[in-house]
Amino acid sequence: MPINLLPQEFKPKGYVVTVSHTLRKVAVLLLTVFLVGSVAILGAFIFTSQRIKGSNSMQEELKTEIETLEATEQRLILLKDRLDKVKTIEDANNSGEEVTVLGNVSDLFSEGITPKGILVSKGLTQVSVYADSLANLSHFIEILKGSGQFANIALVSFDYDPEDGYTAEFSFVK
Amino acid sequence: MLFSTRVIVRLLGPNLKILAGPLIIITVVLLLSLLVGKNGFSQVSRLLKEENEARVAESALQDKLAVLREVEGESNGADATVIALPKGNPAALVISNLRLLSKEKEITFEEFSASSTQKKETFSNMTLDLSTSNKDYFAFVGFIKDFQDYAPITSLNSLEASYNKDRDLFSGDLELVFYWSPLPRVIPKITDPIVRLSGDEEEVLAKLTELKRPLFVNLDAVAPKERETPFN
Repeated sequence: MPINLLPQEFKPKGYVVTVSHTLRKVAVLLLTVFLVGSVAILGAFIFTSQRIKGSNSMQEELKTEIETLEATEQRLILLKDRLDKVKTIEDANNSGEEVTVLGNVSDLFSEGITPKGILVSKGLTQVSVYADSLANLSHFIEILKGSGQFANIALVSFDYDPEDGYTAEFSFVK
Repeated sequence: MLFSTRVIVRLLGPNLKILAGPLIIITVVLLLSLLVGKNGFSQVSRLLKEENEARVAESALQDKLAVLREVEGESNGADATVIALPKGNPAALVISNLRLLSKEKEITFEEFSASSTQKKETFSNMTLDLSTSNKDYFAFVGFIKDFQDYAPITSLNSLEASYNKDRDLFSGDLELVFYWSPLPRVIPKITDPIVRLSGDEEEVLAKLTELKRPLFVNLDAVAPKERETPFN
């Protein structure tokens, strides 16, 4: 058994020794956590850097491939440009619907009905007709009604002239 | 007094000596943790953000490449759209179309004038006032319906027509509008996304490809030809 020759006053107190042991354990634990944390951060740093590098090189490859298809891209851009503009023009100015209505009305002209005039503008289709008899005019109106092609038919004017016979003007909405 | 201080130092000496080591280690580790943690986390979070951005850019490029590969080699109708909406004033083409159709429908042009050019940001347009006369009402209606089937696109602004019993003629006054627009000059960046044609665009494209083309598309300048002298 070793003999402690130091005077008692140089010997650490018992509780201090206990605290020292606990602190040593805490220090070892903290050091371990620190080392593990540092390694994890370093690993994450290297791993993420590698992934960014890989993604960047992949982007360069994709850009090269896209550059080889430049002509196709230009064609698609041109196509979209034209189509967008045509759509804008059609939405703003097209009287195609009114012309279709005019064509539909004209196809329904029946016996004794002859055209007198047309008025077409955006949102408006008016057709005026001569009728040789009231019966034929009524029949024509029946045909228009029965066709189911128009949402709204309005009789704008109705006249009788001994020379021209009956004249009627209709306004249509498809 | 001097004696008591020496005693305290002696008493504290061995205690401090065995505590100093662990305390120094703990302090150093905590300081290093603070330093490494603060810098390390900010660096890693910056890299993660960069990686995320790189992934998004890569994905956008992959999508773009997929779209381009899909449409590559397809006859995508760009020609038809350029004829339908040319880069320059198509007055000559429109008048040629109308002349062609009027001949077919036996319609006489009494008068026509092109005027009021409007230059807008996206496209320009010109109004064509046309006075016609013909015998047959149905041929006239056919003319109105059919001229819209020709490229370049021409729309009907207004139409007023009436039958003249004395002359047995159907007279019409039409206001037509045709359009043109310069081709896009700016090519988007290589990283800018590109999208496929939408349903609406496909519909418009189908309509445009069905339009009848004019007899000629380009009015190229022709060098004067050498004419033979008729007196030889």
